Amino acid sequence: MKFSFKIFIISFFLVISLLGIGGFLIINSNFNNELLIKKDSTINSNKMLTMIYYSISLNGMNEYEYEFNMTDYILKQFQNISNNGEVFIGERSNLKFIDNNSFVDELNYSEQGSQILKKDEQYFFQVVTKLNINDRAAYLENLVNITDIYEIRNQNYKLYCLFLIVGSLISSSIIAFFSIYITNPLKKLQQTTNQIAKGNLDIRNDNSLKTMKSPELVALATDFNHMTDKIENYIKKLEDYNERQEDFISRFTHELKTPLTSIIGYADILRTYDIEPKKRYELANYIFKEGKRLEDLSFHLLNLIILKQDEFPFKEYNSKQLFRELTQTLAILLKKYNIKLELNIEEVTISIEPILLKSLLYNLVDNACKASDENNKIIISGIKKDYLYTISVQDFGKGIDEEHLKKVTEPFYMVDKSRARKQGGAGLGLALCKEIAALHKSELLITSKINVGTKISFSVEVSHDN
Amino acid sequence: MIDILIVEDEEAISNLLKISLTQAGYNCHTTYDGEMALDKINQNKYDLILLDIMLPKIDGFEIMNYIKELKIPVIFITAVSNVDNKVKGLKLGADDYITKPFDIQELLARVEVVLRRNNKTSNKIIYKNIEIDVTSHFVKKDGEIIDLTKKEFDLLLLFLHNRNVALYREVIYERIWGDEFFGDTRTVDLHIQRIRKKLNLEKEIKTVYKIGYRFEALE
Repeated sequence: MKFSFKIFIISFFLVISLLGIGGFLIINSNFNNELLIKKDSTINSNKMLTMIYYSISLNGMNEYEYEFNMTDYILKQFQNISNNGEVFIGERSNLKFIDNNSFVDELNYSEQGSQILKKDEQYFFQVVTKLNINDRAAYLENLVNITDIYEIRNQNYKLYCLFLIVGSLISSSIIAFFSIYITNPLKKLQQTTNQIAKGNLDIRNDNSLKTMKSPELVALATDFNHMTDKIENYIKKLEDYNERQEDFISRFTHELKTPLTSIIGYADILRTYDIEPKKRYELANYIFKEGKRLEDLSFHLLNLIILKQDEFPFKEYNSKQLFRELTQTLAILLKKYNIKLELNIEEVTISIEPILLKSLLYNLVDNACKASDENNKIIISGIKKDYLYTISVQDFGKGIDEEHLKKVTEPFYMVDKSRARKQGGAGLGLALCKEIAALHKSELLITSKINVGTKISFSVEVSHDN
Repeated sequence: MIDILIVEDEEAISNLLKISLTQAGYNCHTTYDGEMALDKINQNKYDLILLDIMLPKIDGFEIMNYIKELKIPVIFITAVSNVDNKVKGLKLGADDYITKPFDIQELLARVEVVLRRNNKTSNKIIYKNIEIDVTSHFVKKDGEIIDLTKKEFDLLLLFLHNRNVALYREVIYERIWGDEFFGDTRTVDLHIQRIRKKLNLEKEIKTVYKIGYRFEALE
C-alpha cells in the first residue's frame, strides 16, 4: 500500500472515531437533559395535581363515582392551565397502555410511579399516582408525548454523521495531499534508485530534491548522490581492472599459442613425411627456437609472480660499487650494439636488493640499446635528493610515441611486435622492471620523444647512516 | 594451380603454413604486415587468403573490410579464441575461422572445404583411370563404381593429397583411425593391400623400408 494512502486511511479513521465519540456523547447528554427536564416537569405536574386533588377533595362525603367524575373534571381544568400532556383520573382499567403498566400494581396509596414506553413509533412518559377515594383506589395519570425529544436526537445523529463523514473526507484528503507532497521526494529518490539498480549509473537526484524545504530529505538526497558517485567510481575501477585483465589474458594466450602452434605444426610435419636432412634441420630449428621462446616466457612469468608475492631482504649498498658491477655485466651487451655508456654518479649508500636492481638496470639498458643506432651513447645517472636517490637511464634512440607510452609497462605489450620478436623479446621486460621498482617503493617515470630519445627513471631510498 | 596468400606476422607460423600448403599442392605467397598485404592483394589475384587478426600497421579486421568487395574467400587465423571475435570475423564475411594452436590436417581440410565451396576446386580428383568424388564419396575405375569402405576411402584420399612423399605408418594410423598409435601396424598394412588390389595401384603405393608408404604418381 502506498505511504500516502496509508496516511489517508489512518487519519480518516482517527478523525471519524475521535469526533464521532465526542459528538455522540454531546448529543446524548443533550438528549438526556431534555428528557430529564420533561420528566421532572411531568412528575411535578402530577404531584401538584395530586395535591390539588387532596385539597379540593370531598373525601368521604360523596359517592365514589361522583367524586371520581368531579375530580376528573376539575383536574382537567387545571391541566389546561399547566398544559403538561394529558391527564386522567380513573380506575385501574381506565389507565392508558393497560397492558404495559404493571408498575402501577406495585404502588401503595399516594405513591407515585413512572415509565417511558414506546408505542407505534411514539414515545410516551407516563406518571401515575395511586389515590384513595373512599377507600377505593383511583389513579391519577399524566401522559406526555416525548417523541419529539427522540426525534430531535435522531435528527442530530444523522446530521452529525453527515458532518462527520464530509468533514473527515475533507480533512483526510488534505492530510493525504500533504503526505503525497511530503513523500514525493521519496518517490523521486525511489525512481533514481530504480534507475541505478537497472545499471544506469550516470543518473543523480536532481536539484528539485534539494529545493525541498525538509533538511532531512536534502541530506538524504545529497548522501545518496555521494554514494552513487562512490559506487560509479568503484565500478569504473573494476571495469578498468577487468579490461586490463582481459588484455593481459589475450596477450598471454597469443604469446603462448604462437610458439605452441609452431612447435606442434613443425613436429607434425617432421613425423609425417620423410624429409631430406637439410630441410629437416630447418624445421627442427624452428621447434628449438620456439621452444626456447616458451621457456623464456615461463621464466619471465615465474619472476613476475614471485616478485608480486615475496619479500626481499634489502642491503646497504654503495652506489659506486653497484654501477661498477653493472658496467661489467653490460660490457658484452654494449659491445654487441656498439654503444658507449656514460656514467654520472653521486656516491651514496643506498638501501636496495642488489641482484634485482641490477637486473632492472640491465633490462633498461638492454631496451635502450635496442632503441639506439650504432655509435649512440646511453647515459646512466644517479642523483641524491633528500632521502631519495634517483637513477635514470637515458638513450638517444627512436623514442616511444605517446599512445604506446602509457602501456609499455603492461605485461606482453610490444610497441613493435615483429622487431621485438626478432630481438627475442616477449613483452615482459618493462613489466618486470616496474615490479622491481615497486619493490623499492618507486614507479617507473618514462619520458620520451620520437627520434629524440627516451629517459626512464626511478628512485631508491638513501640509507640512514648517510 | 591455386594461389593462396598467407598474411601472418609470426615468421615461424607463416613458414609452417607455407610448407604444409605447398606440400598439399597449393601455390603460396607470404606477407608479414597489413600494409604489404593490401599492396599484394591489389596487385595479384588470389584464390584464398589466410588472415591473422593481430597484425602490425593494419589489423586483420580492417583488411577484411577491404577484401569483402573483391569476393576473395578468407580464413581468419588467430590466437584469440573468444566468441565475440569469431562472430565479428564471420560477420565481416570471412569463410572460416581457425584458432591457434591449430592442427595442420584440420587447416588443410578447412582450406579444401572453403575452396570447394567457392568453386575454386572441383570436388573430383582424377588420377589416371581412377575418378574420386569427394562430396558424394564414390570411386570409379574405368567408369565402374568400386566399393571401398570408409577407411579405405580416407586412406586413398590421404595418398592422393600427399603424392610422392613418404608417410610414416604411425601417422597414417593416427590420421585415418583417429586414435593414438600403439605399435600394431597390421591394420594399416591390410588396408593398403586391399586398396592396391581393388584399384590396381600395386605400382603406385610403394612400401618404404622402416618408414611406411609412399604414393608415387606415374605420369
